[in-house]
Amino acid sequence: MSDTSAHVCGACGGTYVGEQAYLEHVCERTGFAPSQIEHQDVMTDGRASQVAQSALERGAEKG
Amino acid sequence: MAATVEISETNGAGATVTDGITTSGWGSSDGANLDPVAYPITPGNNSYEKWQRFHVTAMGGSSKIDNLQVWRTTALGGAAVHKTNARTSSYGGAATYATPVATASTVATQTMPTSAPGSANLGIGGSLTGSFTATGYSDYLVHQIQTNAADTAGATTTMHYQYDETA
Repeated sequence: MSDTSAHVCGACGGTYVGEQAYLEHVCERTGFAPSQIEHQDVMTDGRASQVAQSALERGAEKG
Repeated sequence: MAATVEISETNGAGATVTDGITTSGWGSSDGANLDPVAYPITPGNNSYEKWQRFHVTAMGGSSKIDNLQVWRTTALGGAAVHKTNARTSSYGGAATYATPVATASTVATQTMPTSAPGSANLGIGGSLTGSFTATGYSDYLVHQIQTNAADTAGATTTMHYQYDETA
């Protein structure tokens, strides 16, 4: 079933119908799409990349 | 390259999703990125429930994301308590979204951990052992601040959202 719910971008405030439309938009505030780590880094002062790296390290430890 | 994950919050009767929130901002109104100064909780009352989810926006070449853990650090003001549906055992499965309320939550009934729980306390696809292999949303994390009449307004606290990623 297609997602027809309203998705608001927390960065630019744009509203999109469905998750896919949100994922594909280029945010006016960050200049990147939400699927790009650069978008998250702009929103978190670079912490998103650090969080992702820590998640990968935990995953590697589990084997 | 790593996966890209953000936190999303759902609000209102229309279930509007705000993706990529930057604060939880508990308050006396139901809204994402809420300014609690503009919507303070009267001591003795509850905040509106927060209905939040992990949102994987890209797998970034990784094969799996799992082990979702949520907790809070730093004390709340006075005798306030922080309730949630997150738990490491007797997990109730995926909560079905309902318009957030400021009455005592019937979904968020466990105390929010104040340190990393050590194992998953929020599910994916209704299970604590669930995992992402593609973009999507986790189960809802439902949580609420319940204050005491003697509490002082103005407390701040820090939420932690953690996941593991397998390359």
